[in-house]
Amino acid sequence: MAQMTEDDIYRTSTQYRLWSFTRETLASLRSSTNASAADGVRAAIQSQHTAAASNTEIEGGNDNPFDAPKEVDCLTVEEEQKLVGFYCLKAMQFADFCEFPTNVKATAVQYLKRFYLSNSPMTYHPKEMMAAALFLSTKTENHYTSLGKFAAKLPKTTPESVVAPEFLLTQGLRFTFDVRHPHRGLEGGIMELLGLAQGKGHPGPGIKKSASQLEKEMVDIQPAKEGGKKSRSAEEVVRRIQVAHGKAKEIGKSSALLTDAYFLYTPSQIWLSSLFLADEPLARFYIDTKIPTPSTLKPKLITTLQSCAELLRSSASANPEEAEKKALTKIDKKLFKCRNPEKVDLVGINKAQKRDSEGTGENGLDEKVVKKRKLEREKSEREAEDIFGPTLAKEPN
Amino acid sequence: MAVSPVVTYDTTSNIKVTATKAKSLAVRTNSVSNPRNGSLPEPGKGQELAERLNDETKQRYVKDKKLGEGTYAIVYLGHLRADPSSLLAIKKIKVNTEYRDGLSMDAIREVKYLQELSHPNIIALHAVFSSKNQNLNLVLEYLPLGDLEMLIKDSEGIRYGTAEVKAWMGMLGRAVWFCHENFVLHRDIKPNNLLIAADGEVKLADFGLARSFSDPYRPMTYQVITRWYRPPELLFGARFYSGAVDVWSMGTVFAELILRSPFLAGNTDVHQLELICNTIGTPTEENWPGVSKLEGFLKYDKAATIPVRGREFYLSRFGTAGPVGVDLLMSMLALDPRKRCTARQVLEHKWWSSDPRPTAKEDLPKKGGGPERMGEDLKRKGGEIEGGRGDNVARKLNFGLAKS
Amino acid sequence: MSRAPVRNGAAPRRPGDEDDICPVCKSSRYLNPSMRFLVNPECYHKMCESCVDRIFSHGPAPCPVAGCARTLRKARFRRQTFEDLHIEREVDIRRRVAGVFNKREEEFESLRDWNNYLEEVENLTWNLLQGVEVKETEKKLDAYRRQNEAEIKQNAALESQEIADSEAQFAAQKEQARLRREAARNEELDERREKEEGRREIIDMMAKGDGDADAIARESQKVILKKSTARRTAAEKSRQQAAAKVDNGAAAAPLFSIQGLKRIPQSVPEKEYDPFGGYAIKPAYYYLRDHYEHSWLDNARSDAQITAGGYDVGEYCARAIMEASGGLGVFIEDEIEGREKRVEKEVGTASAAIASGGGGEGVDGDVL
Repeated sequence: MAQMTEDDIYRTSTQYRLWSFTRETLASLRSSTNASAADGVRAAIQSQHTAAASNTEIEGGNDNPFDAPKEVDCLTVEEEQKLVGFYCLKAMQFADFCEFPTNVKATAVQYLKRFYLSNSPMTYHPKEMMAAALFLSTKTENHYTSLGKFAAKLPKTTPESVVAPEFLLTQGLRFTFDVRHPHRGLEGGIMELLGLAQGKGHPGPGIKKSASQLEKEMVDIQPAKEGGKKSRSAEEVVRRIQVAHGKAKEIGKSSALLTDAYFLYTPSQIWLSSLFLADEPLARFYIDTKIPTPSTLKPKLITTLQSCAELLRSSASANPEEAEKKALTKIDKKLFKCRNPEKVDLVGINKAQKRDSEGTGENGLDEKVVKKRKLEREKSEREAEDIFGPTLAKEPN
Repeated sequence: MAVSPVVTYDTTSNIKVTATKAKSLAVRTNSVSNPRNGSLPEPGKGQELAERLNDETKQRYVKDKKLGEGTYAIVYLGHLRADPSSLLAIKKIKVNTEYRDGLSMDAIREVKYLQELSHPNIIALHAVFSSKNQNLNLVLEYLPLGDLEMLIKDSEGIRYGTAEVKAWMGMLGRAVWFCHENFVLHRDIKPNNLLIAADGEVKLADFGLARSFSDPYRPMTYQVITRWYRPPELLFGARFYSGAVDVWSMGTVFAELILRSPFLAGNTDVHQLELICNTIGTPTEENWPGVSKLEGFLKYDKAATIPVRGREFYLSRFGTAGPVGVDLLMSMLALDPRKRCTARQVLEHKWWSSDPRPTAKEDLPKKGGGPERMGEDLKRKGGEIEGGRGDNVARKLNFGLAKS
Repeated sequence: MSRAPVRNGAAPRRPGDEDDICPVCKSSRYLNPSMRFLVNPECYHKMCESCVDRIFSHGPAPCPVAGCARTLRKARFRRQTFEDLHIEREVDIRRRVAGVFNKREEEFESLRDWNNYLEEVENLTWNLLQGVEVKETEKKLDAYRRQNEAEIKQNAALESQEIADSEAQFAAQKEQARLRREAARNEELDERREKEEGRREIIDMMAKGDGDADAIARESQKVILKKSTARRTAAEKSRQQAAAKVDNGAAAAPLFSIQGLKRIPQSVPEKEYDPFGGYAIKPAYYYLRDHYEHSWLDNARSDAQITAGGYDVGEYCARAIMEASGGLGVFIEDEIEGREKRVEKEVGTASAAIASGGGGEGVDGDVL
């Protein structure tokens, strides 16, 4: 039967089974999603056009009903990515504004990232998905806030608009709600390091070193930066661990969430990579207390951590530059022209589906809905100018 | 998905096309698209990958007859399209009823934790898919032989002894242990949430009240666990608790299996506490340091204080479990949650290796609850019981309270 | 093997004789009808008998075929059984592997376990046939042989016994009179074998480390008591050897392990009840300590409102430490790639990659 290690336990998670990818697959997944969404957009725009054409035909004679509309200029995968990234950042700001704990924030961001692997912003605008993702994560992370209260906290948000895309979101998440974060693991690693620094540590199986030996070795670890000072006492080592902890924690709350790290690496690899960035010699020492030296695992782990650290280092900053902002505004404008017109009014679609489920209406979208959609479209047209939306009442720290 | 169903992909299905193929396909559909079909998109056209995947999953299963219907869910008997002889239970959660805040917490919890936990003593979730009208469908392992409550109640038809109790408790213990190893609290352990598979294996079901635990300073709601199985700390309104709450429930199930009637069947929360005081002992600062600091602590008259029952009491009532079994029961029913044994300690107890040996699962008494019983069991939502029996819990969880 | 009758004094034609020209001395069968070709299983290069005599009579020498140079011994030269030397070689290898991995179906818990075992053995064989990881495979083979010497012998004996039995039966149908003699001899053989087996079983059980050594020893004592003191010391000695072997086996990591072997039913009591149902969680990278210092946990340790409800900081520590290393050795790039390849073979799409987690095989339930 089963003897499980902590690695095996991780392998049972849906994060490993459904949401871990190689870089190639991730890329091909995104381009395939983009392609099929673009097709959807073109088809929808064309069918609207032909419908309009046939209407005019009845009314007064257009002799070419099949006159195709101008080729729609759709978003590229990179543009989609940028946009989603921006709204992930936005979600984090909202989460901070609402004073939600890290796990709620981090889960919401991963929900968005996971959702947009199989959905395109051209079909579902991330602005709408963002609120839904945040709300869903308050529920899945046991930090439930009532819908009314939640919607009131966010500008221009109604309870309906928060909940309308929720179902789509859960479908995009393939009904897996658990996200395994690196944050608790980081605390665990720090607790172990603190124990080692105080001569109370215990190395991993297969490593025969006493606690006091490790304590001594710790003082001798190379300084974090070249030319830096070496620690001289256990107290200084503790302080060093605390500094590294703070830095790694920051990375865990920012670039770890915004990059593809969760798709490509395991949570323990992510936090260790953050520690690698914060204090590499310390991170290497930690690994040495876990994995005996002659092993094939260790070099492999180090390479993996290095590539993960590289990814974390390269991440977009939390505050986009002006040029970045301009680029985003441009993408958003472009998106306005290539949104799938059938999926713009999520509240309407949601209502229609609910009506269906109650056994009334049959085919969903009636005249009123179409009209309402048009109004919505015009409204969003007006709002499209301002992708960054209204400023929040108070800047989060 | 918690356990992957044994299905291979149908390679002929046109859902699975490469990106480029999808493109050409979509273009072709467009070119022949009929202007008359207006705004109704035809299936597959421009469908997002997510929708396609969902349809794919949906296509794999077939719903047969309805087994039961409650306000929260409808349960169907179903099978794999590829294998008509397979048996499955499909629980359709009515998403749109009652709860206006989107997907209900019960549904979220059930799906979230069953997706992660895969163990022979935990009901297997094979897949989840949505059907039209935004309903959530849970494809669950089919457990046709009813639940433990049925067996306990049928004192005329079903006879069992210590070896059987030991076998059932072992299976329950493994389920709870595995949940706790994965840092998941079940929070609704009771006999009718313990379903029985065709081979006699007991499976813990209904994760509608489950949650993850262990993080400090994160208050949790105490309005969980069906009253008769609820530990004293929750009755005292504790917001910070541990796996010990499930162990208490296990203890009361253990007692119930031996007595063949509910051990502590209170009518109200206050009555429940009274029963605990009378039967097990009055919680005091001496036997439970800090208990008086709990928000809902009820002061008892010094004179009315009942000392914690000794071994003799348990031996007289639960003697059939043998002295070692009684030891185990007592350690599961310790008032102070910190003194209660953990799920791991339950399994490490001497009782399992002492005589009699647990009955092999195939030889356990069966009642054949039939598919309808599973329908009844699954249609409930977390903490919900059909009238009467300790009906009370957490129908509505007070989340506002649970927040700091 | 029945041999073809010898005709006209010429060597019978055998597979491999078709070429008729010795690749070493170039002499032709046409000129020398009694010429016979031999091969050596070291390299399977064919040469004529006189070449073998000439080159190898004075001890081991390198193979004369250009570019081979393997050291060959005369004693190992033999006639070819199959026309295709590749098959000849394959059969030899298979025979050799099968001689070591001679477990029998009835030793396994289920057909699946048996099949898994066969597959594993086939993998080894394949490696040897294809020259893949030969060194490692040979090591595995050798390690397994050393560790399972007794069992291998026992199974080999059993097999030859079976062959003998069936041959005996065959003969019995033809010759009633011979059967009686045969049976008598078999009986005697059986008796001896049983005695021998009984002793081996005890040793094997100890060697395998199953069950309580003392209990086994006690059990065997009953039998042993009947035997002479000399034999008893012998048994004791072999017990010690067996124990030493177990130690060695444990020190050298098992290179080859077989899953799902049935416990030998006789004299082993019913399998002990495992309350954990076979599950065990054993950390690979840490030992959990009782206490971890972290200032932000202090309050959770001391506040009665928190602790009286049963909240346990230890559970948090256990989880944090577990998550600190859970997945350290899981390399997505490698593991997921394998998984995707498998699914893609079936489906061949990008959506398959995302669907692979819910797919039919591999990572899912099997982990447990």
